[in-house]
Amino acid sequence: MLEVQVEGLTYTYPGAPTPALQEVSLTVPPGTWLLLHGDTGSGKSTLLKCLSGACPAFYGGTMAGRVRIGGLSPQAMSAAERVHRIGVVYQDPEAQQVHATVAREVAFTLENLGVPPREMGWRVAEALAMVGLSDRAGDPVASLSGGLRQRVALAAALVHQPGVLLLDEPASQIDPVAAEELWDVLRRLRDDFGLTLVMSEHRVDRLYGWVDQVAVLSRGRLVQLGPPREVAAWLREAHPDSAPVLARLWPASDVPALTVREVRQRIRQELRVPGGEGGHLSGGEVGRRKTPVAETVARTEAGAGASRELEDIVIGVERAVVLYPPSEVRALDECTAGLVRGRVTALIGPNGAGKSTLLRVWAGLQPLASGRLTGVLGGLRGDHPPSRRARSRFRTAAANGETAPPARVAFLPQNPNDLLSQETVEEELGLSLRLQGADDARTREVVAEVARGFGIHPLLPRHPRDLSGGERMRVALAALAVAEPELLLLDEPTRGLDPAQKQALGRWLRTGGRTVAVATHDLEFVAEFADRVLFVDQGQVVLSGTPGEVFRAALWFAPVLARALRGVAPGILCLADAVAAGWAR
Amino acid sequence: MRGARWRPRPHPAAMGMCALAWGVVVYRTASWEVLLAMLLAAMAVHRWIVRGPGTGPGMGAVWWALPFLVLYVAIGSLFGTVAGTVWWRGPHIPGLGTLVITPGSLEDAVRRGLRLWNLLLWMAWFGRVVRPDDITCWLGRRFSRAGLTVQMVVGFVPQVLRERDRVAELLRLRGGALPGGGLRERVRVLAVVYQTLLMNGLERAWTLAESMYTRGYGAPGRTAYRPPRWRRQDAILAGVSALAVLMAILPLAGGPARWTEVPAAALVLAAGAWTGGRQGA
Repeated sequence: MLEVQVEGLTYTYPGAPTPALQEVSLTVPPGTWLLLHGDTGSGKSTLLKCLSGACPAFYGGTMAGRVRIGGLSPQAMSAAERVHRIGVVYQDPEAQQVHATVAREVAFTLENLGVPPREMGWRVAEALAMVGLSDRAGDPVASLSGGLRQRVALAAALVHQPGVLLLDEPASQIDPVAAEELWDVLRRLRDDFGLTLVMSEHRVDRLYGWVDQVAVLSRGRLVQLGPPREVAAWLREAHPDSAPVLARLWPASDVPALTVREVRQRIRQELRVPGGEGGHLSGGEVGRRKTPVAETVARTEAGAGASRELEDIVIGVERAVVLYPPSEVRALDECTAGLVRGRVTALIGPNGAGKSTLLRVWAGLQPLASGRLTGVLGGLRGDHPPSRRARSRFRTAAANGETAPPARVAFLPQNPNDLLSQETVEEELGLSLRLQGADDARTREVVAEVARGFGIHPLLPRHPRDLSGGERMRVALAALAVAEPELLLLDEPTRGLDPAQKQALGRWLRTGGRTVAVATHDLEFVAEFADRVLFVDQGQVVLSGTPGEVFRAALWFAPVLARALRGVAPGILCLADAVAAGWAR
Repeated sequence: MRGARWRPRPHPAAMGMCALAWGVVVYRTASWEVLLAMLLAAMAVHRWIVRGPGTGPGMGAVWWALPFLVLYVAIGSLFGTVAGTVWWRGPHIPGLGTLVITPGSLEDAVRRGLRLWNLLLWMAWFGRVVRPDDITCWLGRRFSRAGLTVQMVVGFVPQVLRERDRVAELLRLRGGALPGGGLRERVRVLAVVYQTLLMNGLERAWTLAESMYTRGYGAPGRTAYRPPRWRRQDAILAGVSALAVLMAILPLAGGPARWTEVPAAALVLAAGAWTGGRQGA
């Protein structure tokens, strides 16, 4: 149990014109869970790096002020002292993996600390038990899902029994169920072992109900610090876009709700008290209200009729099977699904369900072992499984005529870095056009227009790799947008985006009549902006329909607001619905 | 792998000695018939090693190399001497002389091709039997930096290869025509692909280095978690390997090696007995 103290911390990265952190002061008592909340580039990760000692010892730069972990500065500690006190979990578990097997990866810190081999056995066993991975000790880390890999990283950070655990967006790559499991593990670490937790996270809606303190950062400054309810109440007034969704219900109440349970209790109370706030909307009334989502459903069904619309499939698959040799597991298992023209279709489901594979098939990047492509574009590509030649090492699937992508297909991979190769953002945005032979004047004109549309105009002279995760994502999206794609396939496009940026992305997706498929774990985004939802599991579409239909049926895979108002206001799925219905401001 | 019959892990040092001995024996063997027999025996051992559910035949790298080896043999066979029987006479190339295929040049080229293939097969065997973690652990006890470097390279190379295909695909979707365009266009697109790979590699290396820093790498007195144990079978394999090397190099002073098939057979038997029947590492 260690205390974390930060006093007047100002940190500037080498070569940066302005500090990434300015005059930050906070204290985290022992055994407390602190959430760092803020927009992209607000300084959350930098603060964690200062606490871990990586800034400035590893990154360089200049630091002023004091950081104390259990009374000692990380910069003044020896490597062993520092590691004994601090455990760190990063965003991407794959990037921090050193060894190939689970147990050895967990033991890496112990090896570095010179722990005797006879002691390592029980420590590794205990760390794995803490995170529920006892039966996977001998497995290769590469064989685990994203959620389990993050648990391996957590075990590796806990194995030496540190007093403070720092977590940098640990749930950004895992599905909602795996994220809830991770929060539960962290809660036990705090409650049972008195660990001090400092964590940054973008998906904060559920976390406000778990943590003890919240620190809100904005442009490198600490703007609010306190218990989650107080901070949520402040955010609701000062920065409503950033406030947790549940806290925005009952805007007139001084005490915002933070958990689904609290929302349900209040609803029960209000339904018992006639004339109470929100009591004017009975469950039935809310359900019958015309919300934005209900309007979407109406538009979908009244336009040309649901069945007729489903016939207008731009691209789809029928009984598609995809294998990734040498594994015999089917990434797609006789999957049948399609994308309706001009609609935003969301693919949801657990990690490893086959969402990304489905996108890759539609992009023409992944050949089918059996089954066929359907729809207008699918018919153009042919429906035969690829030849042996197509699978050869030097001919990627997309290079083969049988699976050649249609014109103007854009595919955003999970890792936007795979799209970033140029020296400046401006060059990056213009790359597609230059490769297609556009002249410089035309390229500059289009790039400027798209950059303005995405709000990244100030970033044009900067190097794409110098940007934050959210900024990189926006640059990658803009780089795809310059080619004016007809079919847009996006894999986790909201990762790292703050609420305002998500809203802008959602609005852009819905303009221009594009056919869009979005694989995402961001169910609030799906509820607000998708026309159709495909719930994918074990390589098949197991549930499909409008967001209303799917989220009324699914219990876990539903936005937090839909969970809270289930059975009371089934038409409300997202904040926009709640605002329209008068439940939120 | 869970569900598989447990077998003790071969020690990486014994496996390394065996691989080294195989290389020496292969290069000291003059007869292409013996080399062919060694290759077939090694293939049998390799197939025996990798049998079992889910691992596949494991010969991909070896078959993948076949066309290159055929090309290697074809080119090598063009440089025979003009004396004696000449099967084919080609043009005169400045600096290289006249291209000639003779029975001797063909046999020599086949021998060299078989040697290469033998070595490739043995490397595939080594990679399948020895866990990278065991190499790191074993090396790390004395040479921690070398151990971690090996570990990272082992993980880095396949990752970069996968990434290369992925980035090329994405670039093609953005308008780059990697396989179909002209040479200039392909070079331009390839430059973009490798630029992306380089940047990703640097970023990954940085993240990994930061992770290692926060996990205390570099502190003095490093220990090892479950280091591979040296067993009786490892000692036998190491002994056979040492003997094979001796038998292969001792005749160096007195002329060409003879009876190299004996150490080769001993190596195959010892390695097969110790590692056969297990699934890939």
